[in-house]
Amino acid sequence: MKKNPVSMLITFMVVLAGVLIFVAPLWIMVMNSFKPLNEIIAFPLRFPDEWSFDNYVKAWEEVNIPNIMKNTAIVSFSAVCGVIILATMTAYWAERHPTVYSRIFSSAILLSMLIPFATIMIPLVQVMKFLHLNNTIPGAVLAYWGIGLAFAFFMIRSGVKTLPYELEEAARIDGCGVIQVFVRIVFPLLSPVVFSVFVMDMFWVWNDFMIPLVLLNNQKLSTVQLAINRLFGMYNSRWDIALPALTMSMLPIIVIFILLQKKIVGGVMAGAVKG
Amino acid sequence: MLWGNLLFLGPSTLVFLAVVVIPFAISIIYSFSNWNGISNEIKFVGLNNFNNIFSGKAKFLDAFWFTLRITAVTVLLINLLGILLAVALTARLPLRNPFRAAFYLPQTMGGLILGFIWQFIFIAGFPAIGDKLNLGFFTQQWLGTEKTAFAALVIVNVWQNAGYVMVIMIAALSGISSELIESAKVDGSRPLNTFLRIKLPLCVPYITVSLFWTISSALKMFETNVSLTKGGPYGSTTSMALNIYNDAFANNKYGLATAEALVFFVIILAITSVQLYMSKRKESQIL
Repeated sequence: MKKNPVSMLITFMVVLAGVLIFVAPLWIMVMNSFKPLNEIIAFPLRFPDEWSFDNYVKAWEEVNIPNIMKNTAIVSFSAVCGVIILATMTAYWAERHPTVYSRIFSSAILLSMLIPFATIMIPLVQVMKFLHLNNTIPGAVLAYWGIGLAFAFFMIRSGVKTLPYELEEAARIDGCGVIQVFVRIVFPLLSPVVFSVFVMDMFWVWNDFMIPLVLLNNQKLSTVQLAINRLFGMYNSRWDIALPALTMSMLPIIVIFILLQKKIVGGVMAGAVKG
Repeated sequence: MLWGNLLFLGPSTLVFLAVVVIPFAISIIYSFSNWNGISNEIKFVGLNNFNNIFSGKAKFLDAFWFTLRITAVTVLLINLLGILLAVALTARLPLRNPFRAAFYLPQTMGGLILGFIWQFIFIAGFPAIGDKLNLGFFTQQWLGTEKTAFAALVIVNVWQNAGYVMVIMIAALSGISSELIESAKVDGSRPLNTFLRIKLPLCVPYITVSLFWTISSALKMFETNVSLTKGGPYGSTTSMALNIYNDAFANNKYGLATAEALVFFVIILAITSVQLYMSKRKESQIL
């Protein structure tokens, strides 16, 4: 559509103003994270006189950034890999070998998308205690496997539906067993949808607060979200520690988002279209 | 094929049973008890917990009312802003892609972190802006009164989620065939008319998705309540999920909390199915 340049310019200015307003909170946070506390409180909108990393050193030690990043990475990676393996196996088998059980199980998984975590979290703690997994990383990971299954299953099943059956048949004739067909043929063919589920679920688990809050009540095992929450509980208005901690906790997310922007947005759209 | 079923469906069945099915079943049983979460004694009290919920003795109804109000306001604003952004950013603007990324950015971060960032903005940033521009609007105690705390939560949630609707609506708008728009133009349709009569109706399936997602995530609101207002002042911004969490883990009312959690589930189920049903009907009317 052609538009006249004046209305284009006005649209551009309005959108630019919107972008500035949208980014301002993040910018104010980053800017203040380099200032001493008295300057933060007195002049929160002013540029720092000098950019000092003192706050960052303090926050790094206070929050134990390497430890919480490591915990969060371990939890996220194991959670998402497990979810994907379980969901791919289930979706593939249920699609190729429909039985009464696989139909019931598929609908149960999809229905579980409607169950909010708050509904099952209280007894889930009991189950984890029974399995001796309460307040352990494997326990939290197990919870993610069960809760993340629905969305991953939903996405991957639509991928399985588009797979040509002839390929699997040909492989079977050439002497591949069921497992080999799955590992060598099906899984690689599903890699585009698997990758977008991987990225979306990584963001979900990395940012999730409720599951670790309920199932990882152990300071040594703190994830990023838990550590930030604890920090704000301990020091009220110590912005000189809180702001650099917040900035550091966001950094990995922002870097990955910038690198994988197209994939992430594409994945969101794919998820929406299938809904 | 029995071993194939076992191999491919067995592991996911076990995980699903342990994490979803069994806890859900247990929560139904607990909801009829007065267990406090610690003692070995569990007494079954019939429908007592549900009576307390619906008579307003427990605070769940207040949390429900708050969640309903904030859902209505945020869903409306998120979708309006998201659609506006999508319309603006499907025009051929310079810097279009970085702009889209900027609006989507808050969506990539956790609600807890965003809430804490905004705590700083409301406590330190807004008063400073207010002083500079001499606007009383900004210098209020944003997190201190019931009305402004509600508004603060609306601001943060709209800021966080508008980018999601924008992405969906960009997909919708760019999927419309340009021939259709051209022919409408030839027939003398003005841009606004084309948008309202042709583009928007074609986007209804996508609007359905956006509404479904924004409604269900607003009803489950938890993180921003924890980090921004802690449910206050005077419990006025306690969402349903936060109320359940507090009753279970802070007030040691396990039985009551599981009953509330079940009611919560039924509410979400009811609202989302009504919404899905109505949008599907609307879709079939238009298409």
